[in-house]
Amino acid sequence: MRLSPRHLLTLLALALLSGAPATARAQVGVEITGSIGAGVEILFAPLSAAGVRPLAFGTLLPGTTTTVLPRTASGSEFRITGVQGRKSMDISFALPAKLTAPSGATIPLNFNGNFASLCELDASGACILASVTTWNPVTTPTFFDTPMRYKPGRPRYTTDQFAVYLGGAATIPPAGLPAGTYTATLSVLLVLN
Amino acid sequence: MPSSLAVTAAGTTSRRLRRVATALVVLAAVVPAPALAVTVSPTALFISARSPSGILTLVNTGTRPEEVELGFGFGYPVSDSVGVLRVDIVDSAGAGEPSIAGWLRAFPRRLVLQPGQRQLVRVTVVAPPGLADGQYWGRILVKSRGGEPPIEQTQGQVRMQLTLETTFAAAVFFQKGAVTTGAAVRATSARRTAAGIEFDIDLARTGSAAFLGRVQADVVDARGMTHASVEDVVAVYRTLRRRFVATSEKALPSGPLTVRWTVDTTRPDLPAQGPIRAASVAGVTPVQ
Repeated sequence: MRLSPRHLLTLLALALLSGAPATARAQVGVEITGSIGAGVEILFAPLSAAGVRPLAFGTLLPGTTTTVLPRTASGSEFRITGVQGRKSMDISFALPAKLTAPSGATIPLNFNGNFASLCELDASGACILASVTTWNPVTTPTFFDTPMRYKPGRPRYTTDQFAVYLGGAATIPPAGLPAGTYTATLSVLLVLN
Repeated sequence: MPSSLAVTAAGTTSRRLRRVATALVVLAAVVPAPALAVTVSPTALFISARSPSGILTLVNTGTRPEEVELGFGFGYPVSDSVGVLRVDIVDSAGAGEPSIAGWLRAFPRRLVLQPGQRQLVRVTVVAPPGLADGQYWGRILVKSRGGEPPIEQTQGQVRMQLTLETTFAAAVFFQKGAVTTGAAVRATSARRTAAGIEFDIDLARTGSAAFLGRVQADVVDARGMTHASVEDVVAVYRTLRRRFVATSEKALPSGPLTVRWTVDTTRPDLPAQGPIRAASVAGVTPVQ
């Protein structure tokens, strides 16, 4: 039986609403977006982001700086989902300059270095090593990524998930610190234009 | 009071330090990765003076409760001389900017989303009376934290808490009266580089509304055969320079090449009734 584009769209929409697997859903979205225009907006999966693991500086000694690299067990990790079919991604961080205690005492933090990294994740959640890239989140506050960055000719993302990693450095003053709870928030910012 | 960190430096509690360090390593290793978290849709709100509110849908697709807080701001993409984009989100806009940041209201503004829970958020623009016709811009910031409780790194009496937070900065457009938009292409250039064909395009918005569209560029030879293509969405609020690098798995031919480009308002990722439509613009740029 020959199906018209309208019938195909209806069937695809029904398949999506019936809970088809996410990968199939996104592939369908990629398949159609170029040719059917505004009617396909329901096929775009929404973006979501989640903090997975915060920075863990471990044991800090007075008068020393402890550095944590991205993509290590102590580095922080965010996951961004809903990437498949998109043509670019802007990733920014809101980085604290310090951890602060209620008393006002602080632990300086430094992110000026190659402390940010990302990789695309395959369907099993494993990092695609060829996609790994690293940047300085201070000198490049907004990292602009495209599907062609490491795959020439790929117009849209074919993977659906990014892992975004962040490291950093913390310095403890030589005189030590007053007791207290030192807090800060690491934030990843997705600007949608 | 002396710092516990200073005490540890004296070496009197090295065993405790080792325990703390071990605990931190273990803690970092056992934190599970959530599959998903809060999703926000649509990614842009289009609100008119006739019906001055819109709906955002938030869904917690993760497995843990998420604290969500909504805020407001202002910011739009700007670019530098090499086409690198930047969006500075600020609380209040500079003079002369058509900002609605101070007019935005949301209900609820704070909530906890349980796993699987869906919440509608009503976003309203409370515009001042006598507002001139035009399009006004703002951002709604959806901050979510949770999923995992903050991890405390305890070292004696000094404790560290680093909380992870994610923020979506969705665009809000408020329209009063009739508006128009368009994209004027001020300049283009294209050149061969080691990475591929680098194509620059300078865009300027025309009319009274932001131009939300896309740029499509094909690298073609003298026979009209396409060797590489690139495409991306663009949001031109005032002016914008974009730099594209069109790459191909095969080596590009050494003969003359041109870039055929189109700028139009195709945006399937946005609500169909949202972006202002405009005539497409097309052109050809020789590759140097």
